[in-house]
Amino acid sequence: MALTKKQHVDQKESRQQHQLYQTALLAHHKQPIGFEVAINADASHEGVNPACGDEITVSCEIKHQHEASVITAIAFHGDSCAICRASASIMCQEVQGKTLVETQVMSRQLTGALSTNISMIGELAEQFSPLLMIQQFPVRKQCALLPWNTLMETLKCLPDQP
Amino acid sequence: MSIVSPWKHDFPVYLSHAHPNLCYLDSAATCLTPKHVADAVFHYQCYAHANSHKGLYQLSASVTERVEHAREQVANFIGAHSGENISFNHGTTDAINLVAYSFVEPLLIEKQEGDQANIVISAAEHHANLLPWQRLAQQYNVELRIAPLNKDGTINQANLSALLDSDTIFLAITHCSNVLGLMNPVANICRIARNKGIPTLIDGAQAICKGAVDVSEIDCDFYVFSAHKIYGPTGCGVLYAKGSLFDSMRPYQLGGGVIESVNYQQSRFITGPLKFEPGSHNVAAIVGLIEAIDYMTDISWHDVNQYIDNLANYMHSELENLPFYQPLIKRGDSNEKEKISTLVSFQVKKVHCHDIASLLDNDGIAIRAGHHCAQPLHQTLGVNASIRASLGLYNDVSDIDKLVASLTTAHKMMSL
Repeated sequence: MALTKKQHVDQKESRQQHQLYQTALLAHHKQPIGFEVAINADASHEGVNPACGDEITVSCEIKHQHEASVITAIAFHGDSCAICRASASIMCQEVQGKTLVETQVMSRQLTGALSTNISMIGELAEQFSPLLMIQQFPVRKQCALLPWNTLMETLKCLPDQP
Repeated sequence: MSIVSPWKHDFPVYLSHAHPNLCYLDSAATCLTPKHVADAVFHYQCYAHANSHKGLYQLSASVTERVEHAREQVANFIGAHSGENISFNHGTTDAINLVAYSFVEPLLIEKQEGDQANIVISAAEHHANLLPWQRLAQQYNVELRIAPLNKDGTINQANLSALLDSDTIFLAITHCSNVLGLMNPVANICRIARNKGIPTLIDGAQAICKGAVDVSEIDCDFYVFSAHKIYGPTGCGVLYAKGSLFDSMRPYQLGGGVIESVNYQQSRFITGPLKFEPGSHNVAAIVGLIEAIDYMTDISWHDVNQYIDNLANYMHSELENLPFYQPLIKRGDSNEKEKISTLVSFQVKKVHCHDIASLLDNDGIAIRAGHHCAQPLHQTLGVNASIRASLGLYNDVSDIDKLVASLTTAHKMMSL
């Protein structure tokens, strides 16, 4: 999917700063969505990055709507780097209101894009554009994926949905 | 102090087009390689390589002689009595595991059920000098005691001494922490242990770069280090064992070249250091180690140490001027040689270590970020991770200035 004009400008500026720390990523890092937000969580899980000791806890509130389980609220907290924090923020932005199945598909798509082939991101390219440069920095991939892996573990902690 | 390192041009990586602005500040992880060492390895591999200690032909015999001569050269380098006290292995980690399973585990096996026993290490150990002891302690149900540190990051001798008792079967400590950088008073500590009849191992991975190690003066039972921490290749480690200790130890790994005789039921092992060197020797790496020692001796350990100590003082002073600089251990006022750390671990206020490392990498600066394989030490100091800058003889004032400028920019960009 083509980038907007603003995103092009952002990308040009960020190349001058740092390929990885684009303006859009820094915006999520500095004002993260879902960070330390109090929710009525049905499940939460703490994920750890063994390479650096970063810890992040993801919590979810799930409701059964129209024959599907939907993430109605999501939050995270913990001590982590900007990449992990921005990824968690984008995750909170994107999965709110999504069904569990949609969330799992999205997680697989992002993981595949960062790990194997960037084109696997498909129609999600615009939402995840701040993270896509990470594919060129393999050592930081685990930072971006920690929130998503933790979310997947969180969902496993859920009691059986009706 | 020279503004430019007089030895920098010996390191070909600085001439590489692939890394035009390299500012390498990670020598505590591994040192860059001087051309002398790379050439020696290349020359050996091209023109002299054969299997040592196996062939009867001249090429092999020459390699055997070279390895045995290398033992003597290493013994001479660290003040050991003879080459018979030196065994080659893959590195410090390998050497510590060797001592754990060749020397300490048999002591634990001999222990009678119900007997008390403990192993003592310090709070500042690299995982390489923690995990083997932790596993043995768990496996044989003995206590692993952790000696605390002083405020300056060195091992607290009084507290360590109090932990050593009649049940202590082994003491394993670092000569110099890979996170905190100050030399521990290992000779004093070994004397305390010796008076209590406790065998000792000193992890010299970080101390060996000072070149002034004297195992006879330290009077430890075992001393271990890696070639790549003194500008040699990776894949070569040294284990020093005092007196005839090698003879009383069982081999750690088994394979070719370690037996006197063997049949399908049993084996009789040879004596001496070769017993701990099964399979083929990494001769190229041993050759590289010897070349590295010769290189350092030729350019003068004294001059190098003086140069790096001066540069380290400049590094500490410049970093301390930064308002966001948060060292794990605050530097003392002393200017004693032993009190100068040639590495520093720190945090940048409100910026994650990995982000700093990535941003500095963008400026060509190579530093370490994380727990540096010393996670419990970081926990003890109340942090998850840190940034570590460590010096080598190729560094100079411009590297420190570049580090300071890049840290300032990174902090401005990332701080919340």
